[in-house]
Formats: sequence, structure tokens, C-alpha cells
Amino acid sequence: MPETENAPAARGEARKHLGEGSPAFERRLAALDAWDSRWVRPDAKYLTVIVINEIVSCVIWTAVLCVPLVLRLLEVWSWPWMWLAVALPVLSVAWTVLELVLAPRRARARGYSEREEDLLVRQGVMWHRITVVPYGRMQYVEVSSGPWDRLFGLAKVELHTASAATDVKIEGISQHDAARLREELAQRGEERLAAL
Amino acid sequence: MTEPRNESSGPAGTSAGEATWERVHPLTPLARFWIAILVIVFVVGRNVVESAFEDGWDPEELGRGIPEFVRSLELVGWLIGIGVVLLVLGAMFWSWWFTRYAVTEGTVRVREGALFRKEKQARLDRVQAIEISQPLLARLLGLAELRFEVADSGESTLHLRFLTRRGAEDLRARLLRRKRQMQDDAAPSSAGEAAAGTRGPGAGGAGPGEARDPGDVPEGSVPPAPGGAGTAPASGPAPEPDAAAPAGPSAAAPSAAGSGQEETELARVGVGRAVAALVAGGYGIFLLLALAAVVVLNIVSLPGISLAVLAPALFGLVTGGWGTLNSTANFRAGITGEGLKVRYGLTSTRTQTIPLGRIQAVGIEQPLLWRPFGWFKLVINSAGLGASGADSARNVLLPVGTGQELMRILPYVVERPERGGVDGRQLRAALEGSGTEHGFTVSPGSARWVDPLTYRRNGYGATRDLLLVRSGRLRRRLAVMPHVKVQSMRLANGPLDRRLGLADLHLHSVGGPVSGLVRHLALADAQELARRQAERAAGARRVGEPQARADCPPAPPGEAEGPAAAEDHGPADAGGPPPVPPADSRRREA
Repeated sequence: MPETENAPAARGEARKHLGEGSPAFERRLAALDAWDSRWVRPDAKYLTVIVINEIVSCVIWTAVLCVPLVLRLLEVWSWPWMWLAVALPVLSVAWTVLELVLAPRRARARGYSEREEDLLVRQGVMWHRITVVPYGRMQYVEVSSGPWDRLFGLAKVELHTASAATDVKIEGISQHDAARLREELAQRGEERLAAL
Repeated sequence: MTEPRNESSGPAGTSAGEATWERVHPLTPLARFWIAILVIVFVVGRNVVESAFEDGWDPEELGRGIPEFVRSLELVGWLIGIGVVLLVLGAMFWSWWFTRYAVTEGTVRVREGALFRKEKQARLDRVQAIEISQPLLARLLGLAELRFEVADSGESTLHLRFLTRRGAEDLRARLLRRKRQMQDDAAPSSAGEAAAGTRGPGAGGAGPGEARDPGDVPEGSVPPAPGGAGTAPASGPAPEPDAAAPAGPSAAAPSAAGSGQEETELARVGVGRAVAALVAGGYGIFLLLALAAVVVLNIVSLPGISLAVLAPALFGLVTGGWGTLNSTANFRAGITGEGLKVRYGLTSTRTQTIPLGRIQAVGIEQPLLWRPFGWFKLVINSAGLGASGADSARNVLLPVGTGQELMRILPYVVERPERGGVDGRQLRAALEGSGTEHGFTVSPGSARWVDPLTYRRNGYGATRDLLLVRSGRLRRRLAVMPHVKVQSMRLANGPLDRRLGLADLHLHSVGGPVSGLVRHLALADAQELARRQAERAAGARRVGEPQARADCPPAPPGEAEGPAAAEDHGPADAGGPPPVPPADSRRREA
């Protein structure tokens, strides 16, 4: 595959990360952190990608959920009560609105921190969690990106250890960071290779 | 690795510096999606035939019949049909075009997907086995799939499909050579472990052992392994690495487990105890409830309904109970040179050898009604056994045993006190105690709102090498995890936890029934434990080697380091020709 040198967007330097939230929000996140780590937050474009994803999925879902309503209006169907037929698409939209409202907080709550011996990954607002993965435990790394991600130069990094419970995804980082992280993790993993 | 940066080509702008990306064989889609193709052909074919019949087609008018029915079909239908076929073909081509792989220094990478791109990367020294498998159609087409088994609970194995048979063999040989080199480089650290493996070799044997054997055939195409059978299995035990298992990987050569080594019996469960344990262990309560329901419904009325409703439930209950009984009764556990050997089964006997080095965590449980009898259940998480659930009987070391039996098995799977393990009093506290005695840290008082019964019991204790996670008041549970086997951990709290100043710490072990979840610790305690565990995880690797060396004595707990290591980056192999061939080491069922 040709290795193309391209847009500055894909290069790391110029990109901005999401900023901090309200002080209370930050305090709350910091409360769980046992190491006072310095977190790298997702790329600023991550929010845009989330919004696009949400809207796209909302359109699709709403379209599907409109089917009973349309059939009802055309009087092809008589069963679903009108309120139910209306409620379905309305709920779908409401759900999306809720997701969009929460999205910035959720995105800000994400982050990773590369430490000497392990990688910390945090996520979640209401159920905040911090996962610690020692470099030596990583079995393999997976980098993936959907169409919108690529449009904005983002990627997702997934880490796998021998435990299925590990389940660590670093979402919304720039492709540049993802590639760097992957190489870094591979290298540190090698240095600190641990027995199973 | 050069600075990777590219948007258009790499899945995630991830390009491997000097990697050359190659495509898989062009016939891959055919071999992968032949079922879909078959379905399409079938559907189209059936339509053709059916519509032909509708048109009064008869064999004598073959020549005229077909054009007629073609005309009679709606053009639209044809267009749709052709469109679908084109779409499928297009998708196949697409998927082929975007599937590439590269082998770089120490890694294998596979890229997939056009719209949603994915790049998987596995380090060679992490790969436990490289298998060649040939599903039916692939075999007909002369293709083969390379599967890279990583110590990850399986669902995410790296596949490389498909290459030509020959290409796959060559690549495998190349990779195995490379892997061995890497291991030789890493060898110094592991020499000790190799020596440590009184039982080590058995333990480590399976994964890397197998991988090694073919690798040992120094050059070229490793012919025998993939040779005959469809799948050169991960299971191939050393002695006959290759002829192995035409049946497929997990159906592992059902050769008898015993390899002529002495076996010492540790525990035995008769039918009587199995039944009693079943009834007392919660199952009996269900049974009583079900019977009561039947009786009540019958008395109240509606005998018909009660039967209809309860029959399936009863059926489930009976089969479930039977399943448990079947894996409990006639249970025998013994220790051999290869590990713990377990046999069970009422109707058919299953045998399984669990290499001690593969054990990742040990769990002890005691349902409420087992207490008067002093019975315990002993389960394990073990690498290579796969996730729990599907066949959980395989994770059981002792389905129901007396305290004595438990204590007879335990020393083989849990580190002894003088070697950083757990002593009797602490174990007792862990099994039965509550509160902070014997070095346990439990939930703070505020946790009583969420765990009214168990908040004094939920907690952890730590020895030099082990972490004890205690939980359950009525049904007591204890998880024993060596620090060095913790894969990762997660610190988490929810809204209620925050209000009460609590947090959970979940220590992740390789899949199995034993969970390392420490619930509802005080936030500060949870953080402290997390910090300590992180340090231990970091330190363990450095301290690891000397420890491993100390493991030579028969005391099995050595597992903590030695063989496990073998299993992973295969020091057993790396440390030069291992003294003992990783004999027929794998657990298997007969």
C-alpha cells in the first residue's frame, strides 16, 4: 500500500485536544484517580465525530421506527395505537438528544495516561472507571477507524490482554497518536514482557 | 519504525514503516463466503426452475421453454437479481482488496475493511501457536488459513485467510523461526524457569511447546505439521506434534491423559455426597419451590395449566441437576507429574489434566447449607481452558470436598506461606471470617447501605505473592490470585458509591469462574490497593526470575512464575532445549 505523506491534519502537532470541563466535573474525575495522572484527552474533533455518528444513527433509527406510523396513517395497519406509533420515532429522537447533551461530558471524561510501567485509560462520567494495563501484559493492539473517524483523522485503539475483562478502548485520538501509541505500546510491551 | 502518518492508506493512518503489505489470495472471498454464494445460486436457481414450471415447462420443450419463461419474468425481477449478484461479487472483491497483511520485525499485522478499517497487530513473541487450517472449500481450492493464537480468551485470534497452501507453510515456518530468535534473545531471563519446571514443562508445554516443535524443524516448510490434517492443531502435543488431531484444534487428540506417571489421589467424591451437595447447594431449594408450585397450582385448580407451565421448567431443572450431578459424582482428583488430573462422570467418564502452571486464579466457594458438612468447592481460572460458561465443569478442581480434601489439593495450587503464600489462619479468616482480622481490609461502615449482609466480609488480604479476595456472607467465596497473574485492573465507582465514599477494584484474571472483584472498598483503600498492585505488577517482572528459580522444589505453587512464563513467551523453549519434552501435557478429555 502506498505510504502517502499527507495533510497536516493527520500529523500530530497541530491538533487540539478537548479541554477541561467545569471544576466540579474535573474534581469528580480526579477523585477516583489514585495517581494524579496527567491525562491525554480525546482529540477536539472527536466531539464532531460523535455528533455525526449520533445523527446518522438517529436518522436511520427514526426512519425505521416511523414505519408503523406511516402504515397506520395510510391505514394499511390498524393495530398499533396512534400514540404508540407516534411515540416510537419521538423516543428515538429524544434519545439522540439526550445522547448529544451528554456527549461532551462523556468525551471529556475519556483519556489515557502513559506511565512508566502501565497505561491508564479512563472513561465514563456517571460510572467513571480507570483501567490499568501493565505494558508487559498486552497481548495485542488493534487500531480501527470508521468512515467519519477517517474524515477527521481519528482512530480508536483497543488493547487486549490475556483477560477478556480488560476491555480497553481509547477512542477519538488522532491517527497520528494512535500510530505512535501503537508502536510505543508494542515497544514497551517488548521491554517488559511478562509471563502470562 | 518510522513515523507513521497517512490517512488514505493505513486503516488508522497507521502504517508500519518498512512493512510491505501483501494481499491474500484472490480466491479468498470464494473460500470465505462460499456459503453465501451457494445460497444465492440456490435461490436464483430455484426461482428459475419454479417459474419455468409455472410456465408449463416440460422436458420436451426445453428449447422453447426457457426463453418463454425468461420473457415472462418481470424485467425488474431480473435486474434486482443481477444487482444483488453484482453487489455480492463487488463486496467480495472489496473485502479482498482491502485485506492485507504484513510481517515486520517482530509483529504480524492484518488490515481489514474498507469503510470500517481495522488493523490488528500481534507481537510474535506473544503468539502462542500458529496453526494452519483448511476448511473444506479452501482445501479444494488449495488454500490455507493461518491462525495466530494469542493468549486472549480466544475470540480475537488473528486470522490470515487465505494463502496458498505452500505460501502458508512457508510463512509459518518463517514466523516460527523468527519467533524462536526473539525468544532466544529474551532467553537469559528464562533459563531459570526452564529449570524450575519440575512440572513446568508440562505446564508450559501446550502453547509454545507445540509452536516450537514444528519450529525446530529448522528450515523450510515444516511439512508434517500441516501435512495431513485439515488443521494442524494448537493441541499437538510434542511427541507427535503433527499427525495430530485431524479433528480440529479443540477436539484435541483424545489420547489418554496419563503418561505413565505416578498418580497420587487427593480427593474422591461418591454418588451419595454428590447428591447431598446438589440438594444442599441451592439446587434443592429450587426443586422445593418447583414442587410447591406444582402442588399449589394443582390444589388451587388449573391442573392443565400448571402442567403446561411447569413442565418445561421442571425439565430444565432436571437436566440442569443431572448435568451437575454428572460432573460431580464419581469425581476423583489426583496429582501426577503433569499436573492435577481430574476424572468425573456418571454415565461417561471424562478425564482432564490441568498443568499447574496454567492455573491463574483459585476460587473456593461454600454455599450456606454446605457449612454443617464442612464442604467446599474449588474452582480455577486457567489459561487455555477458555472462558467460563460453556463447559464450566472443566474449571472445577473439586466439586464438593471436605476441608481435608481441600487442604490436600490447595498446596498444589496456592503458594505456601513460607514462599509468600497464605498461612492456615489467614486462610481460615478468608474462608469464614469477617472484619479486619488477619490483615484483611474490608468495606467501611458506609457500605452497609449497599451490602447490608456482606460489608464486613467483602474485602481483601494480601500476602507477598497472593491476593485474597473475600466475599459473600451466606454463600462464602474466596478468590486467590497471585499478584503476577493479574492481567489488568479497573478502578470504578458509580453515583451511589461516590455518595458513600466507596469504589470497586476489579482485578482481571484470565477467563474463568473466579472473579477478582473487590467490592465497595473505601475510596482511599481501593486506590491504595490499586497503587500497590500496580507496583507489584511492575516489580513482579523484575523479581520474577529469581523467584522462579526458587520454585524447583516439588511444591507446585511454583506455578506462580515458572511455567506460566513458559507458556507466554516460551522461555522453556528459549532457554535452550528443554530438559523434558513437553510431553503429553495438555489437558484433554477422554
